[in-house]
Amino acid sequence: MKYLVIIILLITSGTLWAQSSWKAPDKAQKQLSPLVFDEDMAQQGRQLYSRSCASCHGTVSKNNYAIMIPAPGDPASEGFQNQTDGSLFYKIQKGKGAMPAFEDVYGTDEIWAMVAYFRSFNKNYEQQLMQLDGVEKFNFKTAVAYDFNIDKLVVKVTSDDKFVENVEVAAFVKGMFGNLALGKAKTNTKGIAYFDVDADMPGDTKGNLNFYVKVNKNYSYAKSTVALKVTEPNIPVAVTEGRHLWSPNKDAPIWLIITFWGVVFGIWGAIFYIIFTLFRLKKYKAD
Amino acid sequence: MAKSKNKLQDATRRKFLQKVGVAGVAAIGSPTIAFSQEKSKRIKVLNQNNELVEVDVSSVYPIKGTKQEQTSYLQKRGRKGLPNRKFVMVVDLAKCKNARKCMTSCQSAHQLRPEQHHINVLEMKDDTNGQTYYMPKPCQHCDNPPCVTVCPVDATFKRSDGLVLIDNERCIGCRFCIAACPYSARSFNWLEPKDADKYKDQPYDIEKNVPQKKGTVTKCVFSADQLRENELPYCVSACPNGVYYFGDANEDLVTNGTTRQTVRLSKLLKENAAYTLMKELGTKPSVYYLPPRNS
Repeated sequence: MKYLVIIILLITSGTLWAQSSWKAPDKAQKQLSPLVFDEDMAQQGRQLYSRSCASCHGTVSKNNYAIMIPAPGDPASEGFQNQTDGSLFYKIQKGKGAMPAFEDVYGTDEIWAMVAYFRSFNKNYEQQLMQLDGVEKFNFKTAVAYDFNIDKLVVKVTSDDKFVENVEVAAFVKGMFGNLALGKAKTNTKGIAYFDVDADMPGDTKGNLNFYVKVNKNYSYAKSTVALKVTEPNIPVAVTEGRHLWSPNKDAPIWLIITFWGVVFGIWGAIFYIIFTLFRLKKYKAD
Repeated sequence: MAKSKNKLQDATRRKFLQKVGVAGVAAIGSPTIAFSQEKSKRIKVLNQNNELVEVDVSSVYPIKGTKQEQTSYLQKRGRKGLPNRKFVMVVDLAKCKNARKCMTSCQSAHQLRPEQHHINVLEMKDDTNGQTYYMPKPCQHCDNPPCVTVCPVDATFKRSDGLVLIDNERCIGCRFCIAACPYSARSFNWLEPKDADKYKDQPYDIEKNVPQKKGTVTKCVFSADQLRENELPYCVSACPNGVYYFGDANEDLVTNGTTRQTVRLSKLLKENAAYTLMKELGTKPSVYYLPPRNS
């Protein structure tokens, strides 16, 4: 009995040690979500999770995470659920070792959505909400334009028709599978933030670039997507254009078509000519 | 008599559903059209998880008709590439640790036996110092594809978005393409495919090459079915080590399947001295490799 207790103690201390080997800083641990974890949020988190996390952490609650050292672990497991919301948030945001940092890819609201998704597997979880009393709330509106004089993307942030300064703005160029980060900046006293855009960035067939802008301050968020004509129209030539050896029959190279039909008609022509001559020979004999 | 009556009923029901479907699509589509001309080709629909998602009109097709009709529809749709796209893959050899997640996810998506590979992770040995590295090798989706040149029945073809697909309804199993491919990217279904019973009632999806068919050639399709949904290929999103980047060369953007970070394609290739396999053959692959290095 004594030994059993010792063994159990050793095992539990071992697992605890393994779990506590990556600790978020105290300040980060105390962070709380400004957003209420509800079903919608968990659903959004589920989508993000399946895109970016499932390849290592597996299907949540199924314990089928990838075999790696250190083990990625299952977000529904105790090791995850015993951590504070802030700790989970910090680890997703900052990453460590094989765990990528998602800071530049996902906004804070999206990372909280992932935490909400993990918490939906914990029946005993009760969310501690952040006290937002006394915190100024904004009703953000963004105006996005491209200034050709300075070759920069200009984002103006207003709230109830007033400029807001010190707003964190993140700008992206939308791609088919993800967004190219242009950077993060804070608005100046006139509520404006500037971003550099690569001059050789190709636009779509109309010369448009799709910009995606996220703003946040004091837990007020806003997002917007704008298509702006920045470049010359980019009309790509499809690889199937033109005549190639590998093209379907109708687009075969001209020389191939001529050679092929030349051979076919040549051979059949020769045969018909011989038959025709034979008939003439017969006729000649009869005469 | 009873048969013909049934047929008549079927026909009317089908007609009715067609009309409802057209009206529904129009009703859902019209607000989007009013909102923006840009998005006129995309509509919002509810998926099986009750989520409102935006999809391309061309990818919506009514679930009606016989298996053969659906197969024909998918064959016709799959012959054309996604407009104004040119898909490329970048493989960062420095990051590959032989986790082989790409292979398993590919095999489960494309109904492959464990010994069949659309993508295979090879162990490569450096000639001079004997060091090894791992190299995932999918179909290179060449812009000058020798396999397509030799196909006698137009079963394998190249699309405008750069993908090389195969139609196993046309394939006669001559295996010329296997002989022509310098990358050994193709494999043959010598046996009945895995779980053949499970898939036997499904219409043939040319963009996924499922259900597989005994006696035909199978190959990597860059998960064309996923691309249609704006999702990354199965192998790319399954990788735990951030090996794969995938994207559209016309946008000059590629997205990492693990970290979802998007970078400029031209910059990534230039800064990392990217190369393609067997460049001297002039096949112009769409798969680029970043050399293995200490990272």
